[in-house]
Amino acid sequence: MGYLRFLSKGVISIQDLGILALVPRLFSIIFVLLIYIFIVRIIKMVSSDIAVMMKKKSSGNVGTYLKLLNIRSSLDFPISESYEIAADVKIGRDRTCEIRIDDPFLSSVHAEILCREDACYIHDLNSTNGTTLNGTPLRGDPIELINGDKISFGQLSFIYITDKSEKK
Amino acid sequence: MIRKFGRLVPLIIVLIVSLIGFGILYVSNDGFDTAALQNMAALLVLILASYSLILFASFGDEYLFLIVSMIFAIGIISLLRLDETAAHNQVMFFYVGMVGFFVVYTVYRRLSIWNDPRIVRIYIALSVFLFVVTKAFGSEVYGAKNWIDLGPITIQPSEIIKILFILALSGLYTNYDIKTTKKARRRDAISQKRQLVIMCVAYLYIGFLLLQKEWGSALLYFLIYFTLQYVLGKGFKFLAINAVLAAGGAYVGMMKVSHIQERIAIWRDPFGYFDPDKSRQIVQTLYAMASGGITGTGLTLGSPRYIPLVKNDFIFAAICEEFGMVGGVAVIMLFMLFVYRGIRISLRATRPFNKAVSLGISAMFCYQTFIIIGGVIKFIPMTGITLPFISAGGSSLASCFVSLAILQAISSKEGELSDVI
Repeated sequence: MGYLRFLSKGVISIQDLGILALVPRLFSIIFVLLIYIFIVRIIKMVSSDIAVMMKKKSSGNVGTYLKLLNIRSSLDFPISESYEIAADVKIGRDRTCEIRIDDPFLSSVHAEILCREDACYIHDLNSTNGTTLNGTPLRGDPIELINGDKISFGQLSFIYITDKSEKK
Repeated sequence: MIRKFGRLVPLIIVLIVSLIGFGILYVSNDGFDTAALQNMAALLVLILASYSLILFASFGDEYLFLIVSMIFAIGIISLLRLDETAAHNQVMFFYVGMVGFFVVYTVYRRLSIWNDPRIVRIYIALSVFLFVVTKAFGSEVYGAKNWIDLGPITIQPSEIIKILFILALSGLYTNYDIKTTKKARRRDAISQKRQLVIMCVAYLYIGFLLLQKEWGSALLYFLIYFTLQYVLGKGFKFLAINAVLAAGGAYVGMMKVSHIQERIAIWRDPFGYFDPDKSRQIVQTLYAMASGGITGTGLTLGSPRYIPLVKNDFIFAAICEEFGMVGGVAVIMLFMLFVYRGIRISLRATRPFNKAVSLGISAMFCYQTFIIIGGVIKFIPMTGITLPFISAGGSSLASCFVSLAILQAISSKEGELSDVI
């Protein structure tokens, strides 16, 4: 056995070899132990992913959010059914946008939704293909959003849902 | 982004495990030559790089590759312990496999032609072509005419055909979706006629495999078809028909086919079987696993070379001997995690074709692992199937990587944003 030959190159008596032959066994046990630690870690990572998703699901869609109107399976890129709007959000393809959608018809930073105390406003950021609010193309200044407004950019359509009371 | 670095820890564990394994083998081998050392280092670097790419560039589900790299690491170390040349070849195949992985991933992701009815016909035509070529030019090995010898390399076409089979069936099952009338979208729009067509196509494949005496693969294909029929088909009629056909086929096989009778006899009483040459494989396996016990004999202290074909089909026996029952169970758990991820990807997919393909691939890995490990531990009779990612063999490894790439592509296309947890 190569292992024991290696050991006996030094000055080791035959009695000592008995214990040292346990070393490969020990390493094998550590080896298997590490595999189990690996498995446990993966299960933990998966569970924490599930916990995060469950939290998102249970917190539900309260407050203000954009709900997707398109059929998801007809789209070629990952997209959510709804996007929560808690604060100012930018919408676009760029990674810096809070609402990041990989739609080729969106500009890198396409539009933004600004949220003030009692209302949110939509503002098109000079996008290539434009943004439409209830059918009318947006220009220039931010426009206030009310519950039920339909927003379109690129090939996507969203409905704006909020429980904020309307400014009268 | 930063917190993602914590997700590298499991991969670090894979690397540590590999280094420990290499370390033990280095010492027991009185060292390796520099080529082998470079190979091993390159392998670990490649695994780290690929996983980082998948993780940080959001190439889809990160767990798939993570689990596969651990499975592959265990496989490589077992193989290195058995046969240095085979391990070297396996690493070479891994390089090719990884290149293929990224190529297939990109190609599958970019194009949406995979369920086009014309392409589905190409899948079937190509499969038939490969079957015919195998029948005509194949060489018979261990009773099955399954290999094509191309000089320096041998290919096992049934490994390629497996993927075509899944793609073809998935296409046929979900193609009614292409007509976008509202009526056609309902799940029970699949007609009896269509299911009959699919059944004929499936049995075409299975028929070819039976002609080639590939009992294990025939069983595997049948189980994949049965699973897809159960999930995607309507009503119990076809399931019942298939169950009866399978039972009938199994009965006829047991009564008439000597090859099968042999294997069942060996399975029932391996120690008493009259021809020790034939039963040697399972007998030595049982001895090996028994001597391994719960914690194993320890790497390099077992004697797995007594097991015939240990590098290919029975490598799981070598793992059980040296790493013990705990090692074997760990491998099984890794495969279970992998299949779980695959099924999850299938649930999260929104497009029916992708759902079907990912289900088919998950089922393939699931049944394949079950059949081979079951055969090794004498739970079921032996078959000629390979253990994914672990068995030495270019075709097996290649088809596993291609399947993995397709699964990965589907997971990235549908994204992290589905409602299914």
